[in-house]
Amino acid sequence: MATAAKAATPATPPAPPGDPLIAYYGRVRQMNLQLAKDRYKQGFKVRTQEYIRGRGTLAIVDEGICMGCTHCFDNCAFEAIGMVDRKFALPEYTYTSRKAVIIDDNCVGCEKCAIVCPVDAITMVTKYGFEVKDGRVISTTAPPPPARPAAAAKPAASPAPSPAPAPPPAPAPEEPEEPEEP
Amino acid sequence: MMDTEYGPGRTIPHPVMFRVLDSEADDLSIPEIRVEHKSEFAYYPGCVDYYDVEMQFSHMNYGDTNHGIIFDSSIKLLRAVGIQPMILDRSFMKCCGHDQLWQGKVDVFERMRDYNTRIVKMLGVKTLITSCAEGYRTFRLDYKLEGVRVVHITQFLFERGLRIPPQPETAKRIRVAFQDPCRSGRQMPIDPVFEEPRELIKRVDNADLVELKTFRGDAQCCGVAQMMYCNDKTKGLTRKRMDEAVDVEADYLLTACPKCLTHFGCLHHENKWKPGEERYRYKVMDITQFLAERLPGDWPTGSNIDQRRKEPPLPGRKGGS
Repeated sequence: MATAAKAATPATPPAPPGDPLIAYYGRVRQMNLQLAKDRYKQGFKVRTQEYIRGRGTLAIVDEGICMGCTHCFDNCAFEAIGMVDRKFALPEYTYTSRKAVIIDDNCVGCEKCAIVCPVDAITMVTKYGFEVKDGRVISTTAPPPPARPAAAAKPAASPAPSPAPAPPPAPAPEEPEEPEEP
Repeated sequence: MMDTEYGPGRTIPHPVMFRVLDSEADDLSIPEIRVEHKSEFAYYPGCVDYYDVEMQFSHMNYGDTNHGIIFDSSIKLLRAVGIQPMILDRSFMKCCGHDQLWQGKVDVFERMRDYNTRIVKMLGVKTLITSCAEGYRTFRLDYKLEGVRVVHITQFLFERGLRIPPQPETAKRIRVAFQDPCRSGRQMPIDPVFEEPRELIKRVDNADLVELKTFRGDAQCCGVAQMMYCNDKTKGLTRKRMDEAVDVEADYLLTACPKCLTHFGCLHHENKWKPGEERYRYKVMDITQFLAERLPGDWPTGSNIDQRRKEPPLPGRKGGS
């Protein structure tokens, strides 16, 4: 019985049954799924942008401690960690050892690698233009609250001077054109 | 430890799903509501589609766990007891707000509650049927839905007298274990859902109901509350619970909560990647799917899993779609 029901399951979506109610339920179902997919995509975009804009932190690896276990490499969601083989030269012999390196362009400062690191070789530092205050990473260059009034003031200020110089050049080309046309 | 927007907490980012649900809550505009089939019985599928998208996106569980089929199975079962329910779909409803409430985001929850209450009242719903244990608890206790009866789908099917037709002679005897979800079981001071699922399982004539080591009010949690986090300790709890099902030699492990299904399915799926040491040889599914598979008739649609996929994708980042 179970196998019969399972075999029927894939066959139903291409051929919707004649029952209008079943068709209605099917439509609602598909719409719901599509809705979830769309909203989910949007949410992911928002989250990524939030990290890129909002978190002013960056991971750094202490190569003296890193033992190349690839935990951080496996766990990074943004492909911001690469594993490289470093050569070390001692007087007696040379050897290679695998180390993690941070790809700064991809790092969004989510701190996940620092959490999974078994030897605590990864620490989070603030990026240029950010600093830590009261346990929060804040931007020193452009504080958000004053930025909005300034942006609002600029458009208000710029239209005022622009109309004044704009009219004089506008009539100027018109005057020579008008005599030419007739 | 960093300060998050909801106070100090873990720095592991919350799943994208929470961001999506929170942004849904922020949008308070009421969209155009088109309900093609009106009825006083309303079925609320909850976030099942979101779980499927989340699972496939995060590559955690691109296995057999299929939340979308809960929707289909519930419709099939409700039609089998003579109800043509209205669907409270997610184009005009929001999440019930359970996760937000239990994570401490009370303001988000209150926004969702007020919105959903208004919509439910506007549509004139008399009976709100939910297939989700968390939804049942939240609508029943945390909402103030006067005049609306909130029931879990197993309660409703039981009181309407769902009949499972006799299974064919060739069908094997199966041993079925039931996991009591915390939210609809021991966390419900009124009307806990203990008896009804068991009665429904007993109506399948080739199924033997077996009890896990802990059951009913003492039932152990599946490991994770909501989708808060996943670590070694939660995995350990999940594994302990699934080992109980191994001990009683169950063929099916049923649950009535989509999130239990998520966490069981996750471990079940992980375990399959080690050939030769498969620990869990039973199936994990929702009780609605189990019952609906034993009924004849059409399913509204298929499932959320891509039907063209024959083999599971490779594990790791490059696997999956």
